Amino acid sequence: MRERLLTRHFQQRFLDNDLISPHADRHETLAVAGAALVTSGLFVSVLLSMKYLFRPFQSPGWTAVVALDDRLLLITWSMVVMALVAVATWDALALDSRDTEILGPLPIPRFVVIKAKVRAVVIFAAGFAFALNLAPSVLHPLLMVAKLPIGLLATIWLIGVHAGMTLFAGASGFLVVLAIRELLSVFVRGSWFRRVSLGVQAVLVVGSAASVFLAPALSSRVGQWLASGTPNPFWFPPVWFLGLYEMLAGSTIFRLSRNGLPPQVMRSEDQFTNAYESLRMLFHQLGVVAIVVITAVAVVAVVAYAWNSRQLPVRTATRRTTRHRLRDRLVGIATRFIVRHPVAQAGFFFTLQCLVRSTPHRLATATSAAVGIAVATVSLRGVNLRDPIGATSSVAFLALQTVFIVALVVGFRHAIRVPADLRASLTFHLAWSGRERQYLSGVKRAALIALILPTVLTLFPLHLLLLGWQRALAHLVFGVLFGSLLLELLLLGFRKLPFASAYVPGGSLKSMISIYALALLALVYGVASIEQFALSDTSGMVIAVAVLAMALFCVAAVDSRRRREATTPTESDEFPDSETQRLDLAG
Amino acid sequence: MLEAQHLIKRFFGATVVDDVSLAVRRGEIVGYLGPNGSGKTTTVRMLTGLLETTSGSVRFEGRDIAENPIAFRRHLGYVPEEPHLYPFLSGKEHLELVGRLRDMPAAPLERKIGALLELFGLSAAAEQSIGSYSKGMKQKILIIAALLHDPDVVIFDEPDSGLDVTTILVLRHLVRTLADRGKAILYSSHVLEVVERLCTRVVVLHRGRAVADDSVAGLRDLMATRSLEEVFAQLVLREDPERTARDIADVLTVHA
Repeated sequence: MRERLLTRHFQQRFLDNDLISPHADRHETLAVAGAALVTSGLFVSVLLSMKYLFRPFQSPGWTAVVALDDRLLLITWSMVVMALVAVATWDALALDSRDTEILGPLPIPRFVVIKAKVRAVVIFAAGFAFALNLAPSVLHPLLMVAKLPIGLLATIWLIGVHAGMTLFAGASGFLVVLAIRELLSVFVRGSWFRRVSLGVQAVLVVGSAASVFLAPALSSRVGQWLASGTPNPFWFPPVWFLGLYEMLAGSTIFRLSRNGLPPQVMRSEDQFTNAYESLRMLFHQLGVVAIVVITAVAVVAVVAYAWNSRQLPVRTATRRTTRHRLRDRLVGIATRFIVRHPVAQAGFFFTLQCLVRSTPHRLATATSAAVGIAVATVSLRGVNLRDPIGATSSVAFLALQTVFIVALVVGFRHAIRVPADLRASLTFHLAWSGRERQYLSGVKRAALIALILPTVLTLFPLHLLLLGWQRALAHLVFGVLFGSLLLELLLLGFRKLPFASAYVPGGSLKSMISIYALALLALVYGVASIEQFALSDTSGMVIAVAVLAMALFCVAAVDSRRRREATTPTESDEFPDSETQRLDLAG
Repeated sequence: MLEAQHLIKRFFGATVVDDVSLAVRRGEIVGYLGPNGSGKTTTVRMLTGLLETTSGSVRFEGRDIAENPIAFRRHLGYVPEEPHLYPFLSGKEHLELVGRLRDMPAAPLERKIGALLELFGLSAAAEQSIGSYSKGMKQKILIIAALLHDPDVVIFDEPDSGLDVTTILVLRHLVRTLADRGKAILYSSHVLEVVERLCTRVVVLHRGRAVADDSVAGLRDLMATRSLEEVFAQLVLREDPERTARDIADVLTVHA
């Protein structure tokens, strides 16, 4: 009874969110997330199965080879999404000092508290993994073999193996993150753990979010890749689980009867059969690696978790008593040359402090960077950077800078909606002087300094090497102006207090996300194409930069005028959509 | 200077503040007393403009604060009951943020913050993140933030919670000095002794209604008692505290 109560208490911690609007329903957010997981699984399963359903003569060998792509995609998806879930709930994975403060004084044995925490983590992870993998586990094998001469038991076996392998891969993704967190806690104690773990968490977010977006690219023509052996498949953990999958269920389809296939289909079927046959030894080796590694990771995670649970964690203070001369000097430069108005300084410094120190904002920035890395990696696949002329003439290469700028600025636009600490927003409500225009100018300058400039400067050496100094410099200026223009455009109608307004997660995003993604991709490649044209000669470069600067000036002027003339005060709260909405069709 | 007229606040039909009127004049310290849940903090939040009234108005220098809440808050200093601060900022950074938001020029702001941190004994912790502060340290930061812009009206809502004895004494003298210099002060507290010593006038709230509004001496005379504690007991307490304490102890023993 007591343990069940504690388990429920710890499960609640996974849903706790101090940031969202007090008017928003936390359970609705959870329901939307769950529905998104299940429906995306349904959609992907049906989409992947089209090729089997519409193939005139589906053969076992062809199915076995083609199914490798789908299986690897679904395994990778499960693994990285579960890793991402673990990273997102990083602080709730183990007991913290708040638990000690609440539960410590109660006469509950330590092991009961720890057991309840472990149960809560397991239930949460299992629930998520089931929601993620349920639809693909049933639908994908069913639709894949719908036209093959296969029995009921074999179909059930396929469904079982699919469910087992995707859950196994998901569990390993979750356990790897848990093991990293717990090992970190073993070796880094006290306030240093907080600092180091935030960095590790950001790196893991970038890694796993980028992997989510790169999964489709990894899962293309898997049979050919495994046969060639380049790059080495043993370097890719999801492939280990694919090996195990094929070890258990590969022969179920592969050994089906080929009677009745037309001769021309039989010819290609022989090739597929031979190709699959040649990979069977590799599958076995990969499967063994999967079992060994997952066992090792589980042991490490459990031992480290148990070691860290020897005593309940206590609160440690962060001591920072020394003045930072360099920081003071940089602050001096910023207040003298970048933001002179006190309210703009407030916006500038608070934005930088949130982006650097506030966990949700660090995560938002890390996720944006991950999306940028993923899109850039996919789009650069066909570009040979060792061939400067070929590389620089491709739109994908020029789009590299734009991809990162768009990802980071769009991520920033989302981040400013999220309050750094909803209750502490009282500071703004009391001290707000109504100078929205100045405050926003500080916020925009901080984004320019913290996101846009580092991006263009990081990529500048590569551009310098491949484009030459003149074009590289023009590309850099173009990037800065484009980033600033995008920032101005995205903040044009923004009337809330950045980082200090309550917000409702999701909003219209859940229905519009795919349209936004396509629009942004079109924008990136459209801009890169214009730039490619402009960079072909000096006058083109000058004109492009001048047009961008003019556009930036105009948008900034419109924004400034709107804010000056605004009659309503700056908003500090966000309300969820009404349950009943008017369509206003009558006009 | 600051005047509340017939304030009413209802939440989902339940009346939390019921027709409360009070005034705080320049140089005056008004004590605001009431048991838990009597509507003190709700009134205070309406007086600061953070919470809309259901009916009634709050006037500053004769003008309804709802007409221009930002202009009113330029003259207002407010020490809230709960110390909610950004944990990732240092104490100094928080004060800089508040000062800049209030449009205070950089150089005087820097000097003022340095001096106030020193006087409140926080200069050694100025660069530490607020997340590592004790409740008392956070409370000191809130007090400095409320006074940083030299406001004309200061509202203290339980300002001494978590403070050490020395700082409580300093705070009492500070409140008196501020009043002597012409500030209007509303001091909401549970500590009757502090209110008795400090305040020129006392408003007692009970179940959302103002049940008394007079000077401490006036209340004592009116109720024919010797102390504010006895006045408070007569106005607000409906049962004998000693008996309630005995009952609590009995329940604990019986159900042990």
